[in-house]
Amino acid sequence: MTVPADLAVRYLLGDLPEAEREALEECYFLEADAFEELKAVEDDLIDAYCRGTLAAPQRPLFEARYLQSESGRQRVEFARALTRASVASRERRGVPAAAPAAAPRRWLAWAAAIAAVALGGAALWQLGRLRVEVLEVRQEKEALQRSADASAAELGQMRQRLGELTDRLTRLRVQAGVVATLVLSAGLERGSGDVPRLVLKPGTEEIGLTLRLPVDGHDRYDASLQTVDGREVWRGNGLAPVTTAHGRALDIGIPAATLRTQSYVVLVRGRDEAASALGHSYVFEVRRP
Amino acid sequence: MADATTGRTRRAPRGHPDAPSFEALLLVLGPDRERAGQRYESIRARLVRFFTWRGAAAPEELSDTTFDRVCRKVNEGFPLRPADAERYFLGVARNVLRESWDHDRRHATAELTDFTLSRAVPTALPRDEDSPALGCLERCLDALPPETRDLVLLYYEGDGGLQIPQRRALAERLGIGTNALRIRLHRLRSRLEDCVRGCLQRTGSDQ
Repeated sequence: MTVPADLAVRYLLGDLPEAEREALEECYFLEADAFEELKAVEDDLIDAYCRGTLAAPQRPLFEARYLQSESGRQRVEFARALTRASVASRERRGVPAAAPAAAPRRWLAWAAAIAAVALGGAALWQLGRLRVEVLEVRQEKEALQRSADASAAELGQMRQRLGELTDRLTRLRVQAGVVATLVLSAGLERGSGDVPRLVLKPGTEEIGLTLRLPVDGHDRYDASLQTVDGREVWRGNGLAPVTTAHGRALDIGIPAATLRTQSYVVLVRGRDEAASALGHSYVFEVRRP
Repeated sequence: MADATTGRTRRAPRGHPDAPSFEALLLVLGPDRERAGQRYESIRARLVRFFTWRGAAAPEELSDTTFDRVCRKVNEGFPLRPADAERYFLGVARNVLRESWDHDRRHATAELTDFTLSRAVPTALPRDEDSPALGCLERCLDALPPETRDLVLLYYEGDGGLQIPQRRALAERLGIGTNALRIRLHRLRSRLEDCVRGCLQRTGSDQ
């Protein structure tokens, strides 16, 4: 039995709701393969932390889990030593080093810092240009995916470029004062005290939500933005996921005028899932000063 | 009982007063004593990871407590079916974990504030050049057969997006799937980690 890597990572980081956590535990207690798989995912997780490629929201969870105990620190130290030994081996063989991994992006910090800079017309012009560029890159990516012999390396580079451009586009939209952004992960429970907050300043016309998707294999999604008492205020059907700096995600834009100071939940379900399927939920809070 | 894979002596859980209880548990785990012992080790490995992954402070101790309880229940005549053993251990482990959290909460005092604050800040790791783990790892890698050592270093040398095609190529070269390669490397890595841990303990005790 294969444990989905996304689920496994969230379990290891203590970020899985109780029902899924207990199901996963049953799975690895009963299936030898699942236990091996989970331990292998843990190796990858520790490596990702050491190489600086772990997503920014996951880093504090990782540090709380692994750097608080002696055994956890030993495992991280071991992974760092292994990475270093493998790099040294590569250098001895004369293979050039790979480009360093991009530093984890800090969207919200960026947004806050950049929003203070008024770029006006220049930003809007660049915004238009980048939109075209993003469209072109998306088309290129789709063409690459259609091509059976497209190499994985090329596809990876293209995805990275698309992610970078998407980031730049989002930054420019923020600079232009049009959009306030928030990156959300599925599964935050209401009332947990960790609900992400979006402060809408006067003049904000739109909010951009990046909803990080667990690995579930769907090509299209339906999303419904609701108040906590279940009133739907926005809906998007047949949304296609994009590859961003945060991995596979849904980017959605919602008119700011529809939102008031209160908590909201976005319910996301694969297009081909039954209407009764639970899907993924993303909770956030809106504040208007 | 000696374990063929780890060389450790298989023993009753620490602090368990009644060796016959442990023998009764082994009988539940299988009619063949050696296989029952292997199943015991496998359950123990899961328990230790379970407590570790759930953030328990003393996974080994809690695993022992879990074994103690199951042994006692079996010895008292609880009809544990062999097919249900793993699931039963998991259920008991969850209770043990909850009780340990309750115990921690009950013993929290005013000193906890400072303690929690100090724990909340991740402890800094030594810089790479200061890390004794690196020296130990080099020694442990040198002790591996050359082809195994090369496999480990090749597997872990890629970075970011390059790692995936590199590992795929490595799997193709070995004639196995990428997931099989991943599991194989995980096992090698576990052996290396054990070796490095032992080396670090020896180094520490020498100083």
